[in-house]
Amino acid sequence: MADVPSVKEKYTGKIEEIAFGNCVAGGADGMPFLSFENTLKRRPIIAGEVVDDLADYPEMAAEMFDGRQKDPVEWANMWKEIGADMICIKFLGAAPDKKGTTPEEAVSIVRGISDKTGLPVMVLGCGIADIDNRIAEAVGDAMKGTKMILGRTEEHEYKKISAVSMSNGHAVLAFSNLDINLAKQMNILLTDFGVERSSITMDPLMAALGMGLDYSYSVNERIRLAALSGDKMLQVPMVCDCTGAWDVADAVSTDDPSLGDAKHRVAWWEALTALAAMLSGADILVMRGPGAADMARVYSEELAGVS
Amino acid sequence: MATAIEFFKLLPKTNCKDCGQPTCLAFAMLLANQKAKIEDCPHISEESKNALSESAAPLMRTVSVGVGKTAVEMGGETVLYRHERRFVNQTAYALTVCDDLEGEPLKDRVDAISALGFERVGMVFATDMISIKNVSGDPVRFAGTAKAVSSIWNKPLILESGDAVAMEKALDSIGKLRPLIYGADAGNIEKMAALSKKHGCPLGIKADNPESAADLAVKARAVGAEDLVLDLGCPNLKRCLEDHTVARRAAVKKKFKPLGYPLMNRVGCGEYAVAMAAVSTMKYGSLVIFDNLESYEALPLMTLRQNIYTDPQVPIQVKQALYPIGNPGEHSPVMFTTNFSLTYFTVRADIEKSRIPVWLQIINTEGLSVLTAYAAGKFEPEKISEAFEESGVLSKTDGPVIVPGLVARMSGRLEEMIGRKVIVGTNESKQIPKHLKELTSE
Amino acid sequence: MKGPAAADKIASKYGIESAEEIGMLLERIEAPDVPSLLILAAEGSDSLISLARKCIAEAVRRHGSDTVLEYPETGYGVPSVYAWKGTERLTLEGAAELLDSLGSARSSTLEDGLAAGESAMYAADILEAITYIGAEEADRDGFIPDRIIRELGLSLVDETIPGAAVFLGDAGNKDVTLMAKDIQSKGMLGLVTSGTLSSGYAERMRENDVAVGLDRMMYPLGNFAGIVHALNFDVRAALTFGGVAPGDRDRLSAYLSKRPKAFVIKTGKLNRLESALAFAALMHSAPIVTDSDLPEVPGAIRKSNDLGRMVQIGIEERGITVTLEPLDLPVGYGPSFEGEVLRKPDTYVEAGGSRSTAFELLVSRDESEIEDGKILLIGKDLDEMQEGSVISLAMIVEVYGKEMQSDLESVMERRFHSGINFAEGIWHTGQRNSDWVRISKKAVAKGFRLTDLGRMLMHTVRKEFGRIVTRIQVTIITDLEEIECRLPAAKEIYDTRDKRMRGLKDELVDCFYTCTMCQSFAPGHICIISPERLGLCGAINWLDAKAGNELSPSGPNRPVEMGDLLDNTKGEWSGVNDSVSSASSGTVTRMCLYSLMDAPMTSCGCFEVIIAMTVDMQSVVLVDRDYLGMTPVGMKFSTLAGSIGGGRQTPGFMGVGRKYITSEKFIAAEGGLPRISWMPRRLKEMLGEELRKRCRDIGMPDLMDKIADEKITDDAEGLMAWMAEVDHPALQMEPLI
Repeated sequence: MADVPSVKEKYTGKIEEIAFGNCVAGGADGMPFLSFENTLKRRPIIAGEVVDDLADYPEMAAEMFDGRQKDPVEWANMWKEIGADMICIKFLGAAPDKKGTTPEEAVSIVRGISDKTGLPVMVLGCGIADIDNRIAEAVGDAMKGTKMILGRTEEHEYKKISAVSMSNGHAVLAFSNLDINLAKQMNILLTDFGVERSSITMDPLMAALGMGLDYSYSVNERIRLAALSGDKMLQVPMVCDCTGAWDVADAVSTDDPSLGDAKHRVAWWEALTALAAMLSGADILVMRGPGAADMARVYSEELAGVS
Repeated sequence: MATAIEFFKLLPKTNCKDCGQPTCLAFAMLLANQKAKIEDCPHISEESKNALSESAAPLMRTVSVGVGKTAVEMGGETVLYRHERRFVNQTAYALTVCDDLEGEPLKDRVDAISALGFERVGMVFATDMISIKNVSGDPVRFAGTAKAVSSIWNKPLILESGDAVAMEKALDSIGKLRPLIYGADAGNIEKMAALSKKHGCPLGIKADNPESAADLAVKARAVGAEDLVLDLGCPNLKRCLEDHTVARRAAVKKKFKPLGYPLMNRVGCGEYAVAMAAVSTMKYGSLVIFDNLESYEALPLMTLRQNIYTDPQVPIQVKQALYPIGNPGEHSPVMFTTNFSLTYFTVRADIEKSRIPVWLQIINTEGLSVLTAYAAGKFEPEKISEAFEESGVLSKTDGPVIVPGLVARMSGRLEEMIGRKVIVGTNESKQIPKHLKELTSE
Repeated sequence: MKGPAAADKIASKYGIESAEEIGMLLERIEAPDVPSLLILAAEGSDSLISLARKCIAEAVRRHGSDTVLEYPETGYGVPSVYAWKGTERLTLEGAAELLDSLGSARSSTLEDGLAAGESAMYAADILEAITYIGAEEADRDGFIPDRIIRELGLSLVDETIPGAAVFLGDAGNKDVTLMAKDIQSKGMLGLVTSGTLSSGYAERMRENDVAVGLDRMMYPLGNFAGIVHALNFDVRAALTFGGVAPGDRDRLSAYLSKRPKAFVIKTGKLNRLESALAFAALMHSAPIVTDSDLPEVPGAIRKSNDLGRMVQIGIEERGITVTLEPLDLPVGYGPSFEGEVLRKPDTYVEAGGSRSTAFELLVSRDESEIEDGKILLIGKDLDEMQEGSVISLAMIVEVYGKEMQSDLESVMERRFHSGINFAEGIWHTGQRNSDWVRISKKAVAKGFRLTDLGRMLMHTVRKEFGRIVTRIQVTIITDLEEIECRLPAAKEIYDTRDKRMRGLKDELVDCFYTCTMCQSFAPGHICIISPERLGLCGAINWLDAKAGNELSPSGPNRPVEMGDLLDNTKGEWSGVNDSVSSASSGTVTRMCLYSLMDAPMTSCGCFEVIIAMTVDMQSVVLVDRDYLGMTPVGMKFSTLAGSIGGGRQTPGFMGVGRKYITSEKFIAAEGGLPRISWMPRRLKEMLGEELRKRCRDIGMPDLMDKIADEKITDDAEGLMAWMAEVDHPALQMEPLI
């Protein structure tokens, strides 16, 4: 037999591990799933997406949850039954032009989800800083002692959420916009502020298939390579939100029969987004469709060798 | 890889233009970027040619299947990660036609395969090849099916059989079309390699792992077959990812010649086959043969392929045009942005979210995003006003024109140029729905 | 109150009749240098411990040794002991043991001082806790209950409350009202002590009707050892919000070094008690600003006699960022008004634009020369001016900041433009003494005045550069005489800047800067920006990069230690190589700043101009982005850009900023300017006089005319013929390869 030369890379860095109870993210010391260099046999965490307001939520996705999507707690529980490891609740309804979910209501929803499912929770807001800060503050305080991820922090808006997280032992989600240097800068800002590196998760923006996935794939790979090469400021678990797949017209369109069944198509759209995310370094995947989430879980188990 | 200057040194430097380039320097630049072949220079000395071939010798061989305009090139890759340099030849997808079909059903099958295609962002996605699979066990039938398919399918073919006799028969019939001979294994490697040499067709090697693939490649070369495609026999996703990585790294980083060939996978159909194809597409596969592919699988998969094989330095662009979103009318607002596909898709998705009809004018900024384009002078009021003229949008609506918040500073000049009220929009796309709703409620 | 009477009163606060230690602790002494301060602290610490022992003994007698020592309304027992030692439950007996374990204080090193401070802190906290034995509520001056910390909550952490000031010592005849207003207007917390021998801050504030109390963010700490309540407040904030485990000294220190951002203002003469606890304050990363006769220690002790200024110094010393109030103007303000065009008929008044004398200037001053926040108008305001008139106008912004450097003045001054244009109905263009401002009729009608212009400038500078400048003063002048009187000085500053710019040579600086802005699309690319070679996009020169680094140390512009000069002509430094290598993950290992042929700088994609070697290898052509035609190298700009961009090194080809062409370092390794044989006519015109001057400087005044353009030729043969015809100097040079 021919002697194929060893191609194992010698990396010096390792991704931080963050434990949410039994659910652990990070820890890689080689490129994803390469057992000849990455000693970690761990698949990415699958976080099922739950929203508090269905106004802008695609109907095609809602149909997949048998009506249980009307109650966030029940919805989260369904995710647990499907096999999700984490719940990602997005309080889109907190925006003033939506139903106007209050911080108190958010607390009761998150507490309900946590109590009912026992799964760790990632809490995201509606994208309006003041409102998101208030939600993070209320939820973070109320859930002291149960480690969660609070997000999203951005370059000019990170102090409040970081403060809540530090005070209550939660992790922070650091958002940056498709740029390795900005991603790194966010992590530097957070650590300078006092957030421990072991409490940071980073979201470098996972652009969906056909919507700039090419950028994300390469940014993720570069982040992971730099981290493994020893850049401490990038050695934190990576969160990839794959739900953007549902915003792609070609993925969900029902106008053109030649594109095939839309439900299957969008499932693949999201699953392939997730596959690209995990092959480029994702440690936590946020998923919308149960089918896609299931594929992501099964394939990642196989790739990680844990099935 | 040699630099343009290194190539240039060895060229005749006569600027004879016979290569089609105005100067030898321009030709050298193309060589360095792998956009030209040394042979294109008719005056190059044998000495230089050898020296150049050496430095231009690819770490991975480029193998082409088929002939003429529809020929498909595979391999020729030089890097591990696409951010280092563009992946050169995108993964080819082939669908199967079994040789137990004939007549109408055969034609229907080929027609169905031909029909599987899409257009996205101005690009056509389609199946690249048909693999004719010898399930009948009958060499004559195999050759007959090959002939029949070749008469109604003008793209490259794959001959899939482990039987050297059947292969020879088929090659006698369609060998001139340079099909991929797929089916060389430890048992038949010499015979198959000899066929490959004789007919000048590329050879697909079926191995069990990188080691056995390297062995078979060496054997095939010994017989004189040079254009090889390696099937590492990956049974599952994990092996596909790891073995493809091993082969690519060995070839590109360790300059290990026996694995310096394009890689291929043979999958079946259904969910797992698509997953295998996705992993292979992202991780170094040059060809995937499916039994079958549904359109709802093909579109996302082909989009993935297009994303992975996009040149990271050349942004995907959409056409400069007026895009009506949600049936806009004569009072609907006009928005405009750059033709960078990411910008376009994002803005479009956010406008759709608002459920308010909008005329969206796309300006050709050569794929730059809003701020970069503005800084580079490609997103100026003059240009925008020209685009408005071209599409006639201002005669379709008397609605306000919304200028992207990031380039608010152009609002004054734009307003003067187009003589229409200009409103400053939001800095970020995600705020568009809110802004549009406020605007229309006023 | 006389000394002995005061001492007895203190003794009774702690439950004993008298103790000589109290007199010792309160005696006012001068400590003009560090050694004497250390001795005072050691003596203070020992006395305080001794006093605490006596009080513990008395308390044991009254309440029993098992009595648990703890403050009311807290879960942290005796907080300083709990936080630093990890002891959750402290009995009187345990407190005595703790004090016994401390040993007597030493006074030779700074560490000794900190140790003395720590011991004194425990003693003080124990003393104060004794006064609360049996108390249910913390309802008097002294201990601040946990609920207050919880109410302030995250504001303490996320810097909504930017910091806290502790006031200590004799208030004397200080204007405490002004001080309190200052603190409150900045959203900060105040913690005030009462006096013992004379009137302290708490009393003086109450006398002056300043609200003091737990609900007023101005907390009274009580007298004597009551200072410790500032410290036990500090550590509880860290335990509550920092997730710091009690007893984890390293993390506690690390957390306290970040926040709460507190500093101490100490007025009047020092005593031993304060000396000892001053070191405890330093242990909590709180610097001390004082008017006493103390040694100045950078980062720890600062001196000033002006109370108003003391607060400012404390803020600067502790790095407190005061949140910027939103700018409230009678007209709209924001980027959406930036592009507004203001026509003559809509203009109320205008200034400059060669119609009248006008200038704008930002200049750095000494700390003492600036009154922060002051806006001065010299001359008439808008409402006193005739509509349609042309006025004279000077806008002068004076700044101070610990990190401010005069090099940054011009960078900041350039921001006036957007800062002014953001206002609805105000229009600005130009710079320095060739600026031009128009103010619209509408704006004036809405009530816009020149002081508003001043506020806009102040807001802009504070918003953009608040990290660097901490004090800003603006002067707007419309009085022509005054303007003419100040103009010469301004012109001198402009001249000095220009000279400095011209004199900025690569050899004379100690670092270059990176720019990694373009890495998002050109991963391997990194710009090395030196004084004589600006970024290839043309937008960022060395000063901009320097300012960028000051403003955002973790941003794209980082300093590059140059290291060893490996090759003077090519401009190769070991430090630059290291930095390039690490930024490109090892793909590019060398970069010569002044060479086109050997390890040239990588090119991203946004270069203004491309330098390309000609086919005869004798010369180079320059082609800029705006030139769309063919060049003599056989490639258009777009082809060249596509071939060399993306972060690669392509010897023979390089993207540069336009200004680099007239730099003395322009491809110095290849012979510089005389190598240029061709460039588009428009580019040549744009470079104009500057290029001509450079040609004269190198003794080739006719070089400019020997550079061909597209009107002369755009192909290789034509260029070679032209070069021969004009006897181009490049023909006499070594071939590039």
